[in-house]
Amino acid sequence: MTILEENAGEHSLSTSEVIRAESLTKAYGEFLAVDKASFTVSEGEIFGFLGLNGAGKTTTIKMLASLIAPTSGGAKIFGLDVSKHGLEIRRKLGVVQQQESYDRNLTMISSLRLYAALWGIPRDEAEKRIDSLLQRFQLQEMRNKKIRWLSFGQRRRLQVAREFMHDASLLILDEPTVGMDILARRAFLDYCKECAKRDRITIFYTTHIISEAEYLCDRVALIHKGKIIALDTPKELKQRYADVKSVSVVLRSKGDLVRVNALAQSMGSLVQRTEIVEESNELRLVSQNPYKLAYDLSSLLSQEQVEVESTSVREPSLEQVMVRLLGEDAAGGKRAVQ
Amino acid sequence: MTTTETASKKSASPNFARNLFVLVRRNFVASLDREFLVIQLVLPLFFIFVAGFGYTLIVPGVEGVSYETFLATGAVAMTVMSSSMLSGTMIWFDRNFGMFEQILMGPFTRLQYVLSVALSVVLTGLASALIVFIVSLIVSAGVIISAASILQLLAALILGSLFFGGFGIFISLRVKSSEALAATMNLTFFIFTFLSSVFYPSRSSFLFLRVIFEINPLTYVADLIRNGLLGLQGFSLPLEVILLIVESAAMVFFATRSINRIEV
Repeated sequence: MTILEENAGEHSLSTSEVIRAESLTKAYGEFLAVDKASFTVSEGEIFGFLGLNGAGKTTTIKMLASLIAPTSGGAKIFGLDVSKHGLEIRRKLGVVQQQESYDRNLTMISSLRLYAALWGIPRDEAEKRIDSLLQRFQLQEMRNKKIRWLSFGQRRRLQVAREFMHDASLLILDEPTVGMDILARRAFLDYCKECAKRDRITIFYTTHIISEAEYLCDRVALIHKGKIIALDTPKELKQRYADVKSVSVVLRSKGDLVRVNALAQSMGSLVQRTEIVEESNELRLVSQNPYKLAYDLSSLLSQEQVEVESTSVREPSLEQVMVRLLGEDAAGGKRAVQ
Repeated sequence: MTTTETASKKSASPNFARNLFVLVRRNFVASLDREFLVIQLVLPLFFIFVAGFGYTLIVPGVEGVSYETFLATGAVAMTVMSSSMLSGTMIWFDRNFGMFEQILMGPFTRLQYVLSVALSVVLTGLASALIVFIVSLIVSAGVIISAASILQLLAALILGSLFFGGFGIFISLRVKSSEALAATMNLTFFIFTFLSSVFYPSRSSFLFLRVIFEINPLTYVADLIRNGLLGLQGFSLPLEVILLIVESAAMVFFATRSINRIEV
């Protein structure tokens, strides 16, 4: 049984299933933009959908938002078929597109008021929500500025903020933090977590920033060339690929880096790969047996009288797991789901 | 969000008319450039008050009315065309600034979207043409103002708006750049205008041109307006009415179909 099948099985029992995609496929002529993608997302879950440029993330989103029809397979949202009940589904959706979307001639405040009107939010209620969102997304000072004069990051925050206005039960966020500064990004990620936990809002989230997904998402799927090649919690994925743990050795003197690197490489198969990080006087070593490597290397450096600041074994990051999976796929190696 | 977040969950109204209304409101608030609307009234007024006076010296009258009067009613038809073709610009900007997809990912259908654009340009075209009509009364002599003539004027303006609104949408979905859109709109504006009865009666032209005149919906709009307000006959008024209805319906159909077919 594949990871995907296990995962699908686990979630098919859930009564709070919000998205169920089954063999969702979109072809443009011969080109398969999305190839039999299957996954489920539960209520209140933050589901990361990760992949390289052109992997099929946005096409999947467009099918979920019933903007384009699948070529085969299908998806249900809130139990409704996206091909047949698009309008009913969209009434409960909030979608932040990857591309910018705004009315260029309006001020921020008039744009939000208009958006509230589009969603049928009564005027008094809309004013309260707008004030709250402007505060939450730190946009109060720009409220009367024309959108066209805002910075890219400010426009992005506006685009994201307005999707929190109309009580969406499912938010589909396509790289929402592009252009946001680090503080705005962290505040936004925390807000997403808060909404998912407190209001049981389900979030389908795509990003290029893997650390962001690691921080935010309950589960992640990795899509590559239209196919989902891994799907699990970040923790599970990291455990599954624990062999990418690395040993970090921080030296007192930058001058020792090259010598220590040579010593490490002389340790044979225990060391799979090394990387010098000059800025932090650090040598990173990847090994199948990181604890033995750390012990043996410490002994060796002690014998060689190399001054060491610290030695530690590091857990793999989700990014390392992704790089490895994508690398295997590119090399035609074993797929994670097989 | 704070207290507002606990407000009861409300889904958007499924009501078709409400959706259409809010989309029209959005088009007026967000998509129609007020400066442009004012500026585009200058051209017909220029024709009436500058070209009209000038040509009166060499064209004493047309079909029993002064050339100024003849031209003024033609300028009303021209105004409805130029205002309605704004639909193309509206859709172009919505597509290029991401709002087209954003609206379609909201609680709206493509049909509602395209009808909202059509309705917006009908209202804009009507308002612009009525302004030009009222101003043109200064130079027009022998204008018949009655319930029937006003109804005929409104019918001509609404049908004309629908045709040219649909045409604007149709064109905007086929061109690849804003430059191409502007050039195409300008070119078609002149083709429609000068191959119609806006400036001269269709029967005065060569046979070949006359055929083009008589399939051009702007000719029907101008003839309908002149018939209502001045009592002038076009080439065949009942036929012109039928053709204008058919062409407008066909153009709205093609525009809607084009919107439905575009991949986003």
